[in-house]
Amino acid sequence: MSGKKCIAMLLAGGQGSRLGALTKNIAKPAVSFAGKYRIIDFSLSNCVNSSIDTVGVLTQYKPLVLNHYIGTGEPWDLDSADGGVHILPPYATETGGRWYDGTADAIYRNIDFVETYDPEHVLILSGDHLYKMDYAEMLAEHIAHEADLTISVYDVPLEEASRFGIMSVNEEGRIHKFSEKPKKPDSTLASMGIYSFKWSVLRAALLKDHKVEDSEHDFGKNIIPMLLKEGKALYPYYFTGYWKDVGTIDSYYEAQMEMISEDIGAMMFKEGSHIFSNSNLYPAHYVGKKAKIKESMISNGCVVEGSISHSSLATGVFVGEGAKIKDSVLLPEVKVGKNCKITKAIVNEGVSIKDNSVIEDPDGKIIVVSAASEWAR
Amino acid sequence: MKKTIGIITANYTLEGIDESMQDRALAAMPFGGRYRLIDFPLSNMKNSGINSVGIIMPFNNRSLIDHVGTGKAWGFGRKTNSLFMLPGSVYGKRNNTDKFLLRDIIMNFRFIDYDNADYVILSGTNQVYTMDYAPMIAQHEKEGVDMTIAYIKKNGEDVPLDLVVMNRTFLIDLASWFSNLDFLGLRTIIYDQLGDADIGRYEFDGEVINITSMSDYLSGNLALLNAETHQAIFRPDRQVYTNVQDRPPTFYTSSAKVRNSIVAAGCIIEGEVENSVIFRSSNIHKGAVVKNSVLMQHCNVAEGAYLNNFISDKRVHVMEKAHIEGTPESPYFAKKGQIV
Repeated sequence: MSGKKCIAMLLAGGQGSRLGALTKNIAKPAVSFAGKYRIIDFSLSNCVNSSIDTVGVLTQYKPLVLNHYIGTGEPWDLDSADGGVHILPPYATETGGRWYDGTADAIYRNIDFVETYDPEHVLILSGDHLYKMDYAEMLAEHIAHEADLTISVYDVPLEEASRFGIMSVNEEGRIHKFSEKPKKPDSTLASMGIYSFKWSVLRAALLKDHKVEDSEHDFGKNIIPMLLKEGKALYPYYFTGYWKDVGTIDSYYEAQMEMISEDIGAMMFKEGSHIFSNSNLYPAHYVGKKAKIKESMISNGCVVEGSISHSSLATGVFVGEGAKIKDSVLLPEVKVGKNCKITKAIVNEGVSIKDNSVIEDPDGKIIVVSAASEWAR
Repeated sequence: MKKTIGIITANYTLEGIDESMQDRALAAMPFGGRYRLIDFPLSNMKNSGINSVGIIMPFNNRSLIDHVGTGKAWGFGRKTNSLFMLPGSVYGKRNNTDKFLLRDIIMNFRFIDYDNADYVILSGTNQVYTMDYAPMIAQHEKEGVDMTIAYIKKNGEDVPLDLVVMNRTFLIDLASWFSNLDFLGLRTIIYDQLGDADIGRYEFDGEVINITSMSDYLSGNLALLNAETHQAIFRPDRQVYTNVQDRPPTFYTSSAKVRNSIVAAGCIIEGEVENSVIFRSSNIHKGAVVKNSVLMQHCNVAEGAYLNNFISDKRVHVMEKAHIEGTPESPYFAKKGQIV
């Protein structure tokens, strides 16, 4: 099992607390998205579509659904004997047990795992991003540059730049400045949190950073500035496709709506490589005699008797007669009773809505409906 | 339940369908939006706790092998649950005679002989139903008969199903006693030659969709639009497994009008669909109308086309403004990849 060219480490332990009810019981990468998928499908599929056959998934916050979902990794062809997917939760050692304390710490504590594959390069990925990327292309540039670290970058609007790690590039195309979430950004080149490292360099940096007492053990805050200081070769990899970090309810809703738009939806699902998923086996969906469906995405296992406009229905959703669903996202196994009116809402997995419920914010805000909501059965 | 092994016979053809299916075996015929006919007996076997199943292969086995693979999707292909691809005795030929030929059993004698199971359950592939075999096997055991035949009541008459349970040793005996009549079917041999055989009957009270012609194929698919039939076939407690193709959900645009239809994943619907079953990755363009029809995977219906009582095989392209109508008794059939 030695001598892999590149393996991936997928950070999937975050709580995603700003997603509120959606992450009450599950980790953010396991949140349902675009009908039949879960957010982590995008990163896992990217790995497989980029010929990366070994992926460590670092879990921490409420991992049960995520663990169950990933299973043996078979849906993504990651059930291989020489590699495959590995779930890596924090574990105890002779000096005691601790939680992962920062993104870099999570990798530091799995150095032994990485070493079993003896890779030349390690990709660090986030399990909660929505995008399609060929990591093989990034890796090819990384190798051609003889880079120690290649950071995938995205050009963001200046007013949003202070939410990201922002970098500047010199005339040779090398990164010479990096600041994490700067108050006054001087560039719009944002880090996507996708890194390819030369493993020997990353390993040394992790060991060094571990000994720094006031370090937050974070890639953006600590590791990258350290490598820059040491004069290591850091290069950007420019990405121009669709990319979204769904951090908030608003951005999650926006991304869901983008998936049903003809341009972005088609780009993500009709063109290029497939996104794979561990989908439950449902029959094809049924559209009833009085149903009306416009500008929407409907998944397997749905039964639609009401009207759906500009909405996304995940697997196994039922919409009763006379119900009107507009600008909404119904997650897996949601049941909507007769004559309900739901506008601009996200209904969480498995919630049943009582007949005749009206769910609509007078100010047009997004409503998240959970099992504890007044409309739920 | 005593140990039972399963045999699914897939090496027979039906005259009414044969011509249309060309190089595809009947058992691999797409059905119900995302399934193939073999999914139903194979899922029934799996869900009834039968761990060892042999499929007697047709000569035109490409699409069937492609679909079933190792049987992983049905929970077979494991250390403890095995699926066997058994050679059909009429390999290279066509079999329009019987669904359970004795020569198929003789040819695969080792499959039956090496196992220590008490019973063998044999099923055909052109009847669609969801059934727990355990009560039938239990009745067979309780009555202590040689063979039990399943049947349904239809318009007051008993209609036998292609589903029988036999004592394994009885099947082994038959194979040696009647090897000179091996061109006959098991049931014929038992009725004609063994007047003293104990034959039990098991009534199945579920829904059965019988497919023996293209007209049956159309009405059988459309029968799933009936909620009761749909629920009887897709029962929440008995999953129908199939080989999963990872396609995204289906998109409906602002011009879509769909009523009383089953639509699989990966389609783009811009036109009108009524009383139809649409398989995955098909596109119905603006102004196109599809009524009372079945479109298999990857079909493309161009703008302004009108289809009624139409069955298309995979990858059919219907040209702009084409107007094609069949009748329920004689649906129009477009062959694989045809441009109409």
